[in-house]
Amino acid sequence: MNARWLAALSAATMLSSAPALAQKLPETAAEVARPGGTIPGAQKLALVKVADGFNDPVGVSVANDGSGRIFVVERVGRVKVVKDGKVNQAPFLDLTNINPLGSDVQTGFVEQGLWSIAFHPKFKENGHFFVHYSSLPFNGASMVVRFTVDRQSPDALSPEQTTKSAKVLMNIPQPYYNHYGGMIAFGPDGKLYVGKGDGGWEGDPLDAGQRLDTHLGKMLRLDVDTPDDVPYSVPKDNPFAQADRPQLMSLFGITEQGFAKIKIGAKPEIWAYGLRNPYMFHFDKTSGDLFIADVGQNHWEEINWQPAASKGGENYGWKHNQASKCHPTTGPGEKCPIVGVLPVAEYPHEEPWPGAPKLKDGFGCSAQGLGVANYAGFDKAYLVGDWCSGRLWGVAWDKGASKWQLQELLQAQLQFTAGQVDEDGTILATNCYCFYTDDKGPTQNPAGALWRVVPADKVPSGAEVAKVSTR
Amino acid sequence: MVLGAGAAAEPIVFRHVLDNSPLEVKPRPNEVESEAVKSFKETGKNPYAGEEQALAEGKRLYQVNCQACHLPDGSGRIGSTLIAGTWKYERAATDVGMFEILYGGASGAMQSFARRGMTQDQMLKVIAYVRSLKKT
Repeated sequence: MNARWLAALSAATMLSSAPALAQKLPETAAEVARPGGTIPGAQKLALVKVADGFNDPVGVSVANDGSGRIFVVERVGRVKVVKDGKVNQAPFLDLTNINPLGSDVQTGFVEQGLWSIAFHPKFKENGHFFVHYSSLPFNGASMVVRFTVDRQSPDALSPEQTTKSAKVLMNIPQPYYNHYGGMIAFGPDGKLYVGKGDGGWEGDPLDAGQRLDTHLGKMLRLDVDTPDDVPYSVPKDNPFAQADRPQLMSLFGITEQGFAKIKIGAKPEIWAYGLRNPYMFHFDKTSGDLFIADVGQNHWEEINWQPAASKGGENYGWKHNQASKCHPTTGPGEKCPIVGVLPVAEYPHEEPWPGAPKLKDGFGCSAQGLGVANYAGFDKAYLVGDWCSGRLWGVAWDKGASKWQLQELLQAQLQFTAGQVDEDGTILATNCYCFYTDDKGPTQNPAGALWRVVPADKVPSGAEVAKVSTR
Repeated sequence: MVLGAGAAAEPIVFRHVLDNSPLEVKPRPNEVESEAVKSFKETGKNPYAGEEQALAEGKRLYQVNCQACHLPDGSGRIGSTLIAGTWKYERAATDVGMFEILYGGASGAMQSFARRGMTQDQMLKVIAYVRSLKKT
């Protein structure tokens, strides 16, 4: 049995007196939430600055070790520690100086760099943490690497400790310089999930999303608790763990469904597929449910939801569909099959289809999931920041109306890049000044900041808040 | 209001497009305020409007800084349309409003070009060029 399911079961048991949660996946495009919805109970929000001065912050995490530290990922290849609002001068991790020939991190394009850090569920005991980045020595391949903290220096790994403790789990070659995905995170089942983009260019020219013989365009799931000389193992309950196993051929007495399970070349690490660029995804700590913000192409962004009871294997439709639309989309009246699972929410770009009248409100261009909120009036709402429009969206199941809602919660001046749930349950977010058209390099762009999402009426006096639209 | 003879015109008060808060417009380090900028701050009129040399420079700046999002013809893709005559922020219809957005930024990816290193004089040239784009 999937341990994630067990975690959800125990959570549900604790709530046994509550009515059964009825949230479900949309079965038709009409059931997919779009801008204009209202999340019952949602309070007005504000973004309070926690710390400033980061070079292209594109990821944030916490160790859940009770230390109160926040770890901000800088694209150039560093991780900075924030404690009590102060940024440690010495980096927690620095991948720019472990190699005498230069940095280990490729940052030539704005989507390249160090994206994510994830702490082992037993970090407090074993000191293991994991990162995901594009490698300079391996020509931009994406690397998943484990490092281990030196207990004598818990806030900063020396270059020697970094090199000595490195354990490479994955080295995934990258065909183009965009759509890497980026986030890695542990699920409530203790497994490491890796968001991998489709490898880039546009329109998924390699059909990576739908092909099972590539790690690209997927959510991967790894068991990292292996001996030091074994990079990882494939959890036995991964949906394609056995699809490509060597076996004798039987032609008779097998059902067609049985034959359909044979998927030659399928990568056993795959947990879900049909994704374009799942840069950010988050588990809800209360239920074990998973939300994935899958960055869209020219016209639509999509938010996927996976219940804790999922056994994996979901196909989120890319490149046949983009959100609930056809890909390529042609606009109203288009006809195409919906492949796999629909998202629970979607929002358009300014031009929802080629030649469409330009929208004046309710649009964005790149969905960055920030974390699942269980405060400020929210019950398991996924907060999503848009990189281009500065909009902060909430996605949640509306029990009363029995449908998913997508509500614009505010529009900030910020370019959202990433988010995470802090140890206290509040949501942290980062912003950069590192847009495609104005990337001066990962240490040359104006400094970005770390923010906390709080109810607007709970902003501490004297705190700096992000400028938001009052229109 | 009709100004009395000899009375100095009130300088333009610039405001942030998101929340209407006052926007302090000041030169970058080593930036010398051009006569065009000084005049603009007093009158709200862009001295570079329709001026050939300024339009050429504005076009060059537009190509480097703006067109990836707003497209070469200004019809917009990631960034809003600049030629339809309808504006996401109504004040962009005026040169003062467009300057406020260029200088102070709006939301998301439309960040402050002052922060990015563009001078106010260059902003006026960009605005002049944007106003010269063919309207739809």
